[in-house]
Amino acid sequence: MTRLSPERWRVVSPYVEEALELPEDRRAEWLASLRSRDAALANDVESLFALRSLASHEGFLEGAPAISTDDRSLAGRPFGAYTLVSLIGQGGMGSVWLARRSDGRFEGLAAVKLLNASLIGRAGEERFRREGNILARLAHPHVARLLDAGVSSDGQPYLVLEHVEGESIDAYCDGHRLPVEARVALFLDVLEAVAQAHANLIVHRDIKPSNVLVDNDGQVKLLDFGIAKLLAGGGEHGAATALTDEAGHALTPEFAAPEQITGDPVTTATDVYALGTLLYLLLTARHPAGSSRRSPVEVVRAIVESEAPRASDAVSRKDEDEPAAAARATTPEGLRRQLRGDLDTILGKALKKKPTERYPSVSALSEDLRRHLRHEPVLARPDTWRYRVGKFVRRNRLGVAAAALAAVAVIAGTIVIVARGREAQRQRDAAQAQLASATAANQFLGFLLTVAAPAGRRISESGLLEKGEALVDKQFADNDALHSEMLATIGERYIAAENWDRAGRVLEHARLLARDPGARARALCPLALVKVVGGDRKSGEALISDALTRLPQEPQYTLQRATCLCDAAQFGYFTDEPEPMIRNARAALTLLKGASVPADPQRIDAQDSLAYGYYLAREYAKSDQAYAELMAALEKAGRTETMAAADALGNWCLVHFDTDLVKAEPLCRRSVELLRAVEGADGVTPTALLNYAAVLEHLARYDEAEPVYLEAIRTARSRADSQVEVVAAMELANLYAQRGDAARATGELDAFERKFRNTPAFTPRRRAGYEYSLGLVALARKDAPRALEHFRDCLTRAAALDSASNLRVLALSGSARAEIALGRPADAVDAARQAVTTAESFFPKGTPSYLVAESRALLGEAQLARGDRATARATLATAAGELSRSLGPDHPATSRAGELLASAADAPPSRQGP
Amino acid sequence: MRSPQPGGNLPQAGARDHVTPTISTLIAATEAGDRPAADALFAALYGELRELARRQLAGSRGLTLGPTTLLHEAYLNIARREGASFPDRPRFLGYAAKVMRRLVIDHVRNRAAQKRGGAFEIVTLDEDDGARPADDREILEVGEALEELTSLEPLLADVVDLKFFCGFSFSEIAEMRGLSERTVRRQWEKARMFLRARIQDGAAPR
Repeated sequence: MTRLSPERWRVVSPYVEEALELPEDRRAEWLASLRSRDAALANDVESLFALRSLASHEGFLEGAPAISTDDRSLAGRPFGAYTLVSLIGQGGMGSVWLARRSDGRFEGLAAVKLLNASLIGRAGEERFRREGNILARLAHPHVARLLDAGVSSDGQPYLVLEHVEGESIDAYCDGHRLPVEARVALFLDVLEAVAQAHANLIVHRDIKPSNVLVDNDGQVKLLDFGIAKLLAGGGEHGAATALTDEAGHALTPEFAAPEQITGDPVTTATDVYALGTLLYLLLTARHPAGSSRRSPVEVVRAIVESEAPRASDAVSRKDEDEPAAAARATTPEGLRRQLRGDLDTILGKALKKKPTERYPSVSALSEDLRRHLRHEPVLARPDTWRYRVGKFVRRNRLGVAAAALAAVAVIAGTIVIVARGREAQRQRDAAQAQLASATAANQFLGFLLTVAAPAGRRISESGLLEKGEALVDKQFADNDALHSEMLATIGERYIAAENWDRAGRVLEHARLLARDPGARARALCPLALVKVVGGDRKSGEALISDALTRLPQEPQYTLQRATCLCDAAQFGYFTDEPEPMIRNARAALTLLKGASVPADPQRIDAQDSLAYGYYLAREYAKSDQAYAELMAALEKAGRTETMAAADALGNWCLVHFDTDLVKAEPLCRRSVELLRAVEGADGVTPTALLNYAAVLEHLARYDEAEPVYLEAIRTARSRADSQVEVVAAMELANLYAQRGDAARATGELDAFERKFRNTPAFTPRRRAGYEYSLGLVALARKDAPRALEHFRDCLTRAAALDSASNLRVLALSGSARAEIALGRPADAVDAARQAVTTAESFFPKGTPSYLVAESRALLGEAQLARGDRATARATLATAAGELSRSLGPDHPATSRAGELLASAADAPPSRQGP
Repeated sequence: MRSPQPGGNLPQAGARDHVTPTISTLIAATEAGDRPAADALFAALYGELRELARRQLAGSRGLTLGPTTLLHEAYLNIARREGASFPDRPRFLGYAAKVMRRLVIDHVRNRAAQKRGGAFEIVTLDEDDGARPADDREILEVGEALEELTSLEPLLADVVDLKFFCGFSFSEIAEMRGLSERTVRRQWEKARMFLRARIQDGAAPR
């Protein structure tokens, strides 16, 4: 439309009025009829209506101008923990100030944004505060964080934002003359940030270059995140309505998605579109809707109606594109070549008019881009992002028992090593679900977040989750897809809290509501785990199989597929079967190779299962390596101060528990320390304490071990964990026996027996162990005959149990010791040799193990007692070496073996023995 | 008349008996067609509103205030002061709305002038360096375009004043004008189209 002169307006005005009086569906007809009479007039009217759409989108004149104070007077005023320093800028929403922390504790600068109070309204204040808290939890290195939000005592709403110094991403790329691959790589960081927000059900809605900065360190920072959502309050004024659009911003809609212009619902796919536009611009220096010289009306029309030209076509071979190509470190022809193919396709998909035809999630877009990048030389990028730990799953497992023998009249007791679970943090690809009601979802999320404990802590109060359930059932009653999604999320949290019954219930419900294969899998796979925990392995396997077969082979389902495989791998924690565990974990890892970064939680999950699977399969070397890789991955993800790390360390400790206590001790110790740091004093599990205490005990550090055992018992009691209490109590008794304190040992055992004798916790296995402990005590009291009785009893009982071979070793060693004391060396050698053989059978050939070493040392001692000096020497020499490696050179067992070896050398060398 | 207190202030008898005409007088004169009275009315209302705004902002009630509140308070103050003959609110608002527009635009212009020029040393939210800024400019441009609209279709301009600058709702405006809400909405839409078109054409100078 040409300039609207006053004269022209006078002509057009009555027609506009007529058109306004018509209902919308009649307008096109009317316009057509007008056009046949006067085309120019019709065009003008049409343009004006297009402007009207534009104006609506912009929120033109929807806000209310307010009269505010002279801003210079605000310097020095406090807002929250910050004090204003100087005014940076001003806009329709309010003014932005540089601010400094008031308490001087941190060097931090921040940007404080004072919002235009008249835009909020009374009812909005509370919502403002609450949503501010939600957004403040969106922590990602590539998002300029919202640090605080509040309303000052005199009613001024404010936001405190991370201070970012940098330039917009397009300026940065041009200024540094970044080539195409580098731009894509940088863009991936932006995608990470947006994906993180989507996973938290926050849609940005205003992604454009001025909101994507690159700071002085070359780090991407996404700004203005969901701030518009903060202001989406109620209220009947036009102001409120406009703010639920993208109001108050510049008057150009260049980065708007078609649905934003036509007024259709805004979803995560809207962000995908904006990201597509941004990438298009970064790569071609052009806008997909045409050159920037167009008027806003034409831009709007183009966005809604015309398909963007292929990126490679948008760049011509002509000279006019030389500067743009140079800014991308190439020539126009070179640029075309680089864009042709993959990038054309990717951009095309991101910019589809229909939201459902675009990438379903930012992660999917990211995955495609990464795949493209791998054909190009990959640029080294610093991987410094830290990830907040969301949920985790912990497993307490009674695993393989191990035993050790100390040489000096000290015999270790039965130790049940409880394998502790590890974190299975799931970042569900929430963006796969179309967010029908972002507000409702956000409210729910807000509820969960505000009541949930800080990162790393589990929501142990199922009351909270129940409330969440009720809320979800109400809020999403009319949206099955979202309802299912939410329920699946709650189900995962129940699993994390180890509330299996509720988890099962909720997940069954989610399963019923699930429509598409992704949602189905999201419900079925965790449900499978619940079934297995409940003992129904067949159902569990069937569910996983069902979920996997129904998932389409397309790339956007890769993450879900991998997650299901991780769930299947976790069965191993409860079934003790290593093969499926290893198989599924490996499959998951293969699938995740080259997937986008947000898949790291799944990778860590799978790696953890793999490591534990190897452990179960007694492939200790592989397990050791897998745990080392797991810890490296956790370190890389900056999650070394988390539950995941604590659990991983605890399990890694187990791997070495049977073989190399010198390696095991720091692992168990660190695990306990971490738990204490992350969960607090009462958050350290009895099993973690038990393991640590056991390690210390084997290292003959009795004084250190005793208090840890006591703590384990105390904690076990407070959690009504009788299994651990039983074991810990027996272990403590064994410790006292080893320390020579028979009286105390007896006292412990008596108390223990009284308490647990007729309880289900006193399983046959425990019973056998109890006999063993009695034997130890008897030895400590120098009552060898009695000791032998107990050990034999233990052996008899152990024979009836299938997984008790380590108890056999113990009992045999105990018998050997008793026989030596009774002056029957031949019998001692017999028993000791059996002990060695049995111990050796646990481990693959050549695996060093103190378990074997101690039995061997005992054998040497028995041989010496029998007078077989040479044999004894050989045996003891080997044993001494093994002991030194696995227990350390200062360990009493090592010293004793050395002493025995020395005494074996004193005798005449000619003396040989059988 | 009170007896003088020793050392106290004497209330000036007839302190209010000076020459300044009351607002109601000015309104009456304006409606009778008196042009200078119309200007004087505008000035008086402007002074009134501005003083009120200044006092409110200086207090601790907050850093921003809405025009609706301001107009409401102004009406109460003046009506109370001038007595029962003061015109009713709708009539008052008919005049005050235009004044409010001027007040806001002047304020915005003032503020824009104080804004720091040049590149920002720290870039934060929703402030774009190169592109056009948000509402300040918009308000100024709208103001200019409104002047044009006032000469072309004064009724439409009035609606904009009442809705945008004064913050009244469609139903309130309809009531004030004796029109249907639907009609008011249509007037608003039309006015918006005009203003938007003028702004796009660059009606307001940069």
